[in-house]
Amino acid sequence: MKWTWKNTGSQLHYPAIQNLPDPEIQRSLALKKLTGKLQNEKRYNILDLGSSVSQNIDFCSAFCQKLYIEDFYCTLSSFDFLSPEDGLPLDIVYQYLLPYKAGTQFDIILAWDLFNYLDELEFRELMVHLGRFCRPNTLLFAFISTCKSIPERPAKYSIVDTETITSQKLSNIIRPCPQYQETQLNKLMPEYQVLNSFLLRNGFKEYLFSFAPADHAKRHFLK
Amino acid sequence: MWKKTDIPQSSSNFVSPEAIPKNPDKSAVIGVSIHIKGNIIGEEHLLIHGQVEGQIKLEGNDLTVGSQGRVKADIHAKVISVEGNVRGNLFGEEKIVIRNTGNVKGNLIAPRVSLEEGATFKGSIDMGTVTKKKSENHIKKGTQQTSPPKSTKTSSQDVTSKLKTTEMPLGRRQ
Repeated sequence: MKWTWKNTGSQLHYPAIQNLPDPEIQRSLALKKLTGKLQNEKRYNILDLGSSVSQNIDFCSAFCQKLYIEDFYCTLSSFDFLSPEDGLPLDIVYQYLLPYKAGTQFDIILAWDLFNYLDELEFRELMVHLGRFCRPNTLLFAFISTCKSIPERPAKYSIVDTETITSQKLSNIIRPCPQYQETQLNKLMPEYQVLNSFLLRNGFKEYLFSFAPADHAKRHFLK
Repeated sequence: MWKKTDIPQSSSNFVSPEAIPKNPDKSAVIGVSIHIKGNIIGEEHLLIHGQVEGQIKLEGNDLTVGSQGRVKADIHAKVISVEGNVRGNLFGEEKIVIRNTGNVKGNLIAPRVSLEEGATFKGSIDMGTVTKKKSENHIKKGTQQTSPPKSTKTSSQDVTSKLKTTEMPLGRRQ
């Protein structure tokens, strides 16, 4: 998170940015796949790691039982104690920042483009932490950039319908992108299987993962 | 004689017209300079422009937190409208609305929740209904009752069980 914008106060608002480009409309086949897996009668627990967006709440309200909105990038970047010198283990940090009760289980996780803003250690630890609150077949939706650079901070994504998303850049400043490859993703998130992946025109690859714990006994127990 | 200089220049006392309820005669108002620490229980609508810390129970009535209002409390009301800053859990019998200037950290429980463009929210949204049972579980000393549920998406058993596991993750972050 060396490149992150520091939120120094408790305010969640991002500073206003002038002259931002118009929101980009993109067709999302992964979102279509995700919504295609939803059952009519069932209500789902959803974790949205992005910022609060009214359209997303409206969209999710049709099938969600409980929706958690974390704005995780903003939360994480607002803590200065994350520097390695402080020696605070990341799992402790995540337990503090995402403190769900034991027994909480998410059916769907919307990560958007968050992973592009985490280094390998942050990424891996986050997936381990979230894995504690996943059940087998929990769906994870994420964008991984294949470009060399990305905007300074995550974009704001709004769901228009089951296969359309708009993304609004929140910064004109760019930063390097880790460009995670699929082999890296397998190492960083070994308990998540790629169900679908689609390369988008903007250089992002959208992924739909499914949580599949490697431990067979654990899987059996969770079922 | 009044001079221009006699007119207060500070905009801190300005109250947006939208923040004023339609029927002000039936609303209590906590002014900008008022700071309350403690519980508020009432049977009329309430408009908060000041600061409140504690618990607010206005069951069957509406609560509006004005754009300058700062509330650190669990809120029980029929319709909760937030234009200012709120930290705490919100229980809306009918609806919770976070206006474009609103900033909420906490858990929302209401049959309908709406967020205006520009509003910021962090926490969880439980779109169940705030039933009497639910209220009883949450209000240890409460003497008032909520109105009966108008529509339920989940069974009362589900609602009760969800209620018991309602989390306050954000409280620990503050």
